[in-house]
Amino acid sequence: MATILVVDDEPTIRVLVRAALEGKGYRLLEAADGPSALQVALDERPDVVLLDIALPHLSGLEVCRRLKADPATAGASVLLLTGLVQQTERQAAEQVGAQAFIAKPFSPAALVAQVEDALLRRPAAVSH
Amino acid sequence: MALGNGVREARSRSTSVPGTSGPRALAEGHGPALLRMAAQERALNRAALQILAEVDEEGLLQVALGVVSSLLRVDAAALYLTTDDAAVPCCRGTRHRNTTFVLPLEEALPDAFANDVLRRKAPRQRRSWSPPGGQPCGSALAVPLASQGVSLGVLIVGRREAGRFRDDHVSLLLATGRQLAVALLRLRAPPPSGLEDGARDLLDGIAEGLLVVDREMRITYLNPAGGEIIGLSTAQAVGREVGEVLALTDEGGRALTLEAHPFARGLWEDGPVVLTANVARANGRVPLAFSVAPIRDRKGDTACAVGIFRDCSREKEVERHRTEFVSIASHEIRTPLCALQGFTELMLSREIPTNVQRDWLSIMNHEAVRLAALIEEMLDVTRIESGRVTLTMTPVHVGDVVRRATRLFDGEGERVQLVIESAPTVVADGDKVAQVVTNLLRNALDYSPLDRPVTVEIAAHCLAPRHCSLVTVNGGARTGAAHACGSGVSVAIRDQGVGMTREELSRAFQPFYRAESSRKLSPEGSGLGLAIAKAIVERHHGCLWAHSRPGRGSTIGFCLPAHAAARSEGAG
Repeated sequence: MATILVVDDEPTIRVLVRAALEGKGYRLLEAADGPSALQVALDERPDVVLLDIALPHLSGLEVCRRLKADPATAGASVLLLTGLVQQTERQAAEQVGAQAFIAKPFSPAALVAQVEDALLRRPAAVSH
Repeated sequence: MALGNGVREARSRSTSVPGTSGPRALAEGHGPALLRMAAQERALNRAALQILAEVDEEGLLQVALGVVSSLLRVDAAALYLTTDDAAVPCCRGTRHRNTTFVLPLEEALPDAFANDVLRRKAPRQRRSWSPPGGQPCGSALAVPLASQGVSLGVLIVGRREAGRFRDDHVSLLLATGRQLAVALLRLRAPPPSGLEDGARDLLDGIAEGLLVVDREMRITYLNPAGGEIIGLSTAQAVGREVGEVLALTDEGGRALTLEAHPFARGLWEDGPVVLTANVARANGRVPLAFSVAPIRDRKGDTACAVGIFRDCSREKEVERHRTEFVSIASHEIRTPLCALQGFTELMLSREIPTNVQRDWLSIMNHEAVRLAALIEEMLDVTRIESGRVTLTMTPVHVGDVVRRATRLFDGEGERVQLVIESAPTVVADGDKVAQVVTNLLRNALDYSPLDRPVTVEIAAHCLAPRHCSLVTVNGGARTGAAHACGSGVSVAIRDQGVGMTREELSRAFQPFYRAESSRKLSPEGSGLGLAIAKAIVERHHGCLWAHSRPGRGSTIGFCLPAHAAARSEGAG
């Protein structure tokens, strides 16, 4: 069973993402800020991380960079899910190794498709 | 009597003036007067074209004399030009190239003849005259050279034979003289780069920087405002190369190449060049907005470039602020929108149990309300900041305003302790002042524990603590520590909450800024409350200040100006 970690400081978004992915057979985890996202990722080794950029304490971009820098978490596909949609953020997302950039507001169906695609094209198998 | 080379030269040049045989031939051949006039006109037009085509004075005078000699079939022609230093209009000027045009009558012609023409501004002729002690040697016709009321000299033609000049010859010479005067004036007009005193005074007074460079990029003029921006006096700058005096960098901080310099581009590009570049200053880079255009001479060649420039830091700051505002605002709007789009799409795409539907609808409703409030606040802050909100100024009792605002907080209002030392009446927009109090109270209540009180103090003197941060002083942005304004009324709201670091405090009044600690305690705040309060206080020309220590609470307060209080007494 693939594990998906949803990181967003807005509870509404976490509920929505959970609702969109529910019933697809995933194990869903949540985090509300950068440091706890890193901790959950390290503990639970998710396959996909849906990551907001504007997060308290540690930005999503920095979380992504650290996930990719740590061999223990580097295997996770990171999909940035954000309302910051300027070109600078898109470029930064690419630089820190995010696999996709999903702009808010998003379609739940499109999100599901993106997650499925990410699972198929995972950079490397994650050892659990 | 020998004719000089000049006359021959003039005649030889005259071969390039077609139709010069026309007037005389027609006159002698009894042709219709009309035909003669038409031919003369054609000849005159050609002569005029030839005269106007000349680009320097020496060439012009040469050509003019040649044209005149051929046109009137005279034996000699001469020009008397008035000198610049002539106190009275007289022709004690240069006989132009009198060695080239040896006028046989010249020696005999008294200056008085030319002077007389100059004074009368009318043609004169002499049927004959004799030089002192000599034989009668010919006739002469003189016309004034004048244009736009400026006397330039006298044009004289002479013949060997005695006799009267025909009227049409007089007209022809007059017309040629006028043409020559126009051409002379045009040539003598100062080049565009040269500044006359009047123009200089005008440019010196311009508030924007103005700089003129020659073709070699050397500064020929810099007005005082420009000197202030560049940091040099006009005297220090003139003669130096503009690239050296005004070294510029682009947005990325890279030095502009000589070709990219606004004045280089202004010199060599076709139209005006409008661009922004930065100049280095001790306190950082200053953006300057340039508009530079080439000035061309009569031949169409670039003579110099004139540019205006000004410090555009303020515009840049406003632009940056606006871009940032739009960017953050769009981000803030996207989250509630995301909930609305996402949940509706889910409900439309599959069967959802009623209880789950109700949960989602409740979230959507909450987000829609939040979106509406957010938009309202965003409009508020932009409207107030841009001055598009008209304040309704009436005498306002600040104590009443605070009491009313407190009541809006329902149960939470019980935590508010009022300390009213004195609550004068000031002239202000009551609703807007209430909004300031509400926003500051909202912040204090949200970011402090439920069991801690929030104090609102009102006094007739400034309540700002000694070491507070000043956000706005008398309606303008200023930072610093010491503050004591002569306020009419001062309101301070003190909490015992999470407080802010110095860095957080410095940004707390920017739109959408939310401190880390505040996100935790009240995740749904828009981050606009303090920005709105600041904008309102600024519009009242009041002061806004804040004092905060992490973990020990914050005091944020505002003062409304004393003159408002004084006016209220007057108005009341």
